[in-house]
Amino acid sequence: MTGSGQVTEAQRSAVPTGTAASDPRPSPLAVRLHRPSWLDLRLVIGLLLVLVSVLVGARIVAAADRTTPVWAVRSELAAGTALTRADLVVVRMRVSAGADRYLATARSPAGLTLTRDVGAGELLPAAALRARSDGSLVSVPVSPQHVPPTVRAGQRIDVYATTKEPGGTLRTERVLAGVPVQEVRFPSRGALSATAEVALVVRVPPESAVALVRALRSAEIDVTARSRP
Amino acid sequence: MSLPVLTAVTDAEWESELVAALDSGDHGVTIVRRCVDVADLLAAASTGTARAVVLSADLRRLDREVLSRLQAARVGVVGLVEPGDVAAEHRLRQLGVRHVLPSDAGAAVVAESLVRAGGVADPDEPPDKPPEPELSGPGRVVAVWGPTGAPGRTTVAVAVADEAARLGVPTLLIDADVYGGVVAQVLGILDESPGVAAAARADNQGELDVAALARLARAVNPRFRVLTGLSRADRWPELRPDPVRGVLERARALVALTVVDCGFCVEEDEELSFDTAVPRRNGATLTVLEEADIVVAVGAADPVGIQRLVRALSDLADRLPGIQPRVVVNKLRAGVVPGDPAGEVAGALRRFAAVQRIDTLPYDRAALDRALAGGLTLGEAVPSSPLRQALTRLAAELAGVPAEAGPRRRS
Repeated sequence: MTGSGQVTEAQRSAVPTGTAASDPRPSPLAVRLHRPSWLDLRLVIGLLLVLVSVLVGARIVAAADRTTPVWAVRSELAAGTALTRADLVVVRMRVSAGADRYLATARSPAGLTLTRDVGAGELLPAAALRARSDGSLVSVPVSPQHVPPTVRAGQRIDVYATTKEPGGTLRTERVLAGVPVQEVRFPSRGALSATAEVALVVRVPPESAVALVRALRSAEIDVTARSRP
Repeated sequence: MSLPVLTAVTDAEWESELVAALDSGDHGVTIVRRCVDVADLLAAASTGTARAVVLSADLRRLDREVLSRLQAARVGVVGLVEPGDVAAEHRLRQLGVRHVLPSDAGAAVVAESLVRAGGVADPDEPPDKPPEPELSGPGRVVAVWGPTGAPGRTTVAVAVADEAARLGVPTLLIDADVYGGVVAQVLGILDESPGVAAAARADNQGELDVAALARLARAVNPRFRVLTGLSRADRWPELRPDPVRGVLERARALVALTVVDCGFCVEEDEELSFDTAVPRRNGATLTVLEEADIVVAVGAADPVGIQRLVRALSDLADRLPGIQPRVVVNKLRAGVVPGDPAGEVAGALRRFAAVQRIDTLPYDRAALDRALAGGLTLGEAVPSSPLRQALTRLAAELAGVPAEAGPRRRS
């Protein structure tokens, strides 16, 4: 002890300023209080648990899915209608047996022709499709006053022709009965041109095309739409 | 004149040979009593009939306490170890026995050592072998002391040690408060480390070397170690004065700066009640104050704190007249002291305690609360606090380094 607050020069110069790296006699590190941080092990484990259970749950639900995607028609279509992609929707159905009776979505049926009527929302049976379509496509022009405005592709229509006999009497004749509309073209209004008439495209057997065309040239045409029987 | 000596040798056969040899020849020693154990030895020594003792290293219950009582009875000690037993010799030297001989040294050599040990009184006489360098070192010891009433001794001690470590000085903080040391709590240390009680116990057994002290301390960071205090105030008898002195000596060899948080009380009332050697509760505090190179006296800057500081400084001057404490007035704030607080406090201390120079520390309760709540030092919690800046300057002066030297670290 020096007996006073003064420190000798020998002590001053002997103060080692060694660093920790060169410390030959390290002390054990003190375990000290830590401010809790938001990045906690428990938080991480909790997040992992939630994430894992979501993933596992999704996998289990996906593995339990026994449904198959099949085609259904969007709205009622009559036999003879050539299908387009817009007519069809994909629905997932659980089919216990005979799934091949319906058309799987691996193949698009667009371009095929229906052999029988199919109601709105019904599944598309593979047996109701035909690859080739017979007959000629004929466009039936009709003034908008003589056709129901609700007519659309896939609907069955009757076509009536009214001619004026030389005696002044009118004679009406049904030239087409129950043919499906393949396509409807409503009148377009352009700036320079306007089509005043609705054009309905129908497919008819070649032998009846002659009578139809003659009627279209010579008579007043009316179109009536059939509701589904 | 023949030197009266005692023996306390455990090996009975060899003891009788030694006694016979010492008595028969003209070796200048007279055996006055052959002691059988430590209690017998202390009783014989306290009668004052003997001037030296030859004892075995493996004498049961031989520790620093016994040797210090032998020294108090002015009985010189010669230790005997089994030939080649390096560990026992090391232990005896660590306990402070200056003359250690192998047991086959022969009666003439033993007698010569006894005469030298018993010729006595001159503690500056060179021992038969230079002390091992590891037992002490050039490190500096700063005692932080102050009157009762929580003037901030622990706060100052922890902050000075932390700031000195940040200034690049390897530092050890020792909690030697025998009335309830709380350094571990202040630093937020969670594990139960054995601390200063274990170090004192090891030193009493002669088993504390510098590496053992380093193992008992805990590193808050690589340059800042802590020797935590007594876990309960009623364990104060474990901090005896002589082991505390030994711990401080090892600390000087371990680090450059040792900061000791002391108890407040320096009274020696036990000596009023007993006329025998009794455990003294304030002995540890007094030992630290005696051993320290610098004593920092911390007082609070309010009328009560100043009065207590004045009384405590007067007590200290009575008890240990050689010490000129460095007075640090803590919690300096306007309001409780009218006008210019620093000037008023300095004037009062100059008038009543003849203190010419004081250091003042501002009161920053908010910063201290934040540090205390997180178990952090002030430098870790609120580095920008004006109190911390004042403490950094104080730590630099106490450690003897420039205030801005060394790497500034944030931890």
